[in-house]
Amino acid sequence: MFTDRERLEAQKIRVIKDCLNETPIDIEGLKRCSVEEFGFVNKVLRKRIWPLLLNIDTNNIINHSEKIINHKDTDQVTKDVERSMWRFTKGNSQLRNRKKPELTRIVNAVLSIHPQLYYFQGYHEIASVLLLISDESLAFAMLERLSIYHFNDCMLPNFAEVLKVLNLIFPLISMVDQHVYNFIIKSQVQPMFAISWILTWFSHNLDELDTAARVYDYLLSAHPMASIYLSVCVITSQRETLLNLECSFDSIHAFFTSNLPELDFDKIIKQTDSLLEKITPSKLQSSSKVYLLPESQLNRYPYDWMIFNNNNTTTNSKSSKLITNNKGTNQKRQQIYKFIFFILFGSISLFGTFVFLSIKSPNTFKHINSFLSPLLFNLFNNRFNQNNITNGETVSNFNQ
Amino acid sequence: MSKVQTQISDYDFLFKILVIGDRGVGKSSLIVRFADDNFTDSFISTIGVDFKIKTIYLEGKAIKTQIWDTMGQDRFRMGNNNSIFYRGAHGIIVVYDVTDQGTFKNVAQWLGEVDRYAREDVSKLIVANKIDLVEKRVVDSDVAKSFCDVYEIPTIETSAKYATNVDDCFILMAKTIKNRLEQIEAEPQIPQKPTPTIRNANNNNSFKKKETCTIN
Repeated sequence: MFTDRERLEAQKIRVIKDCLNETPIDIEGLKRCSVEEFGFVNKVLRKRIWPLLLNIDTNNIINHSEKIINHKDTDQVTKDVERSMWRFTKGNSQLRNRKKPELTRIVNAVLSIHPQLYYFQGYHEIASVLLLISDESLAFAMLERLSIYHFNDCMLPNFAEVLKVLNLIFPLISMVDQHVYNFIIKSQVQPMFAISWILTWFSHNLDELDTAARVYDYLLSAHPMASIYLSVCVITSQRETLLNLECSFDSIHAFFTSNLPELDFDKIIKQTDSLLEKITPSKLQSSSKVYLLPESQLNRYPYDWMIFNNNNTTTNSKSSKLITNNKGTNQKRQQIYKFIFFILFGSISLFGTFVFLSIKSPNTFKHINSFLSPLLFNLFNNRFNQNNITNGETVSNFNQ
Repeated sequence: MSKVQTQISDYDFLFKILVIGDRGVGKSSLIVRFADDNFTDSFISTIGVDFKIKTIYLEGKAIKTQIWDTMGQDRFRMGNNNSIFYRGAHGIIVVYDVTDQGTFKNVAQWLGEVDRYAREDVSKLIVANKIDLVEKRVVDSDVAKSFCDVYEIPTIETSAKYATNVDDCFILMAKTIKNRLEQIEAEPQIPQKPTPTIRNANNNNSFKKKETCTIN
């Protein structure tokens, strides 16, 4: 007999495979699956789906090893990789030792190809999740994509943007749970305790690879600022324990910087997605008065490479994009068209009215003609009189 | 209905010690060795700020040390969000790696952070770690000592791996803090020039045993 969980997982796998079997692949359907229980369920499916979410052309991934040069953080990468992947490869030192050179290569390759990116401690932990779930080549391609977009603000020359992201957490809590918010503010704790959640998408703080992968299912599918919303839901999900702590920044900071307890991430992710839908990232920034840079990649979602490889979606996306891009021009043209239309309509109306009247009522037309006769006569006389004044001889001839 | 519980702490002093320094110099290893008497190569990088607690006994007093471990990433350094950790510290330890000249050179920059954010009278200690790596050593003891003499900051050499001088390091810091506080108490009160309100608001000047209140 199958357990309830196994039956539910099997059912979920069928739903996922239905999305994958669509032609073209149903990316939106997959994203919805990331919110639902079990996410993408297992390693095999994740290896297939994660590159799809990032629109990786798996047939054209470059040979990243060839691109590696000595960059500004080579030494630090070596140190960090040396102390990495312990939790996720527990009891399997062979796997860890095999993966470390791979991890070193993919991290160094991205940083070599993109010298504008600054390494941050924790970056290798993102890479290690991608690597342990997929393979070296796929992990490199995914890491590169994430680095340029989702984590770009963490890879700038300073941490100013990261601090802004952290400073969005408490305002968002105030919109979700006033008690928790009041307690946190009273304690004077800083949002610094959440920095590893933001920098590593929680992989730094989770003991099990499967849990980290479940979180990545959602964060790879959602808005790049979803990690902020997830952080808030992680905090509020522990409100009972939190509100019983001593109300001081030491105890609260320590509580949240310990490894996360076993949480129901399926439930928390659903809450996160609802919250993200209810309070958009732009709304969050405006109401909290914490604004990311306009050019921040976090403000540019959805990204242009998210036009997935299928005709219908491509057409719709292109049309939508075209309309969006030309909105100003279209408005101007509409005004011009409106003006021209108005003039033409007016002219046609007047002409039509005149023609109508002349056909409908010949008498009326004659009347108009009669009315015009005296006018013409007077005009003629005026001219005659003028001639009379200037040339008397002519007048005489006329009288005779 | 709220309930107020009173709990009497089991220590005479609570000292908050902040440990700073470049990436990978062994800050976390030192702290774990001291607090848990454990060393493993499997330490993951510190991201953000963590702390550990250990109570030591010094001259008949129970001293609870709360040791804050920080991220060494240089870009993390320049953030006002850090300042609360500096202001709350009674003592600050700057760590460098004797096998890496750059980490020693950066000690001066870290001391600049201390001067900018910490209380003026904060106790300081400079720690030279990884002395077990004898063949790789590049920072000379005498050069380092001269540097520390110029700043008038005590220094000690350690190996987190072999637990060399690790306890001594934190005991020295605790002793320095304790002596400073006792000296302050012993001195006759003289008029103090006004300190900024924000500093007063954020300082935790309570060093001795206190009643802890928890509101449910």
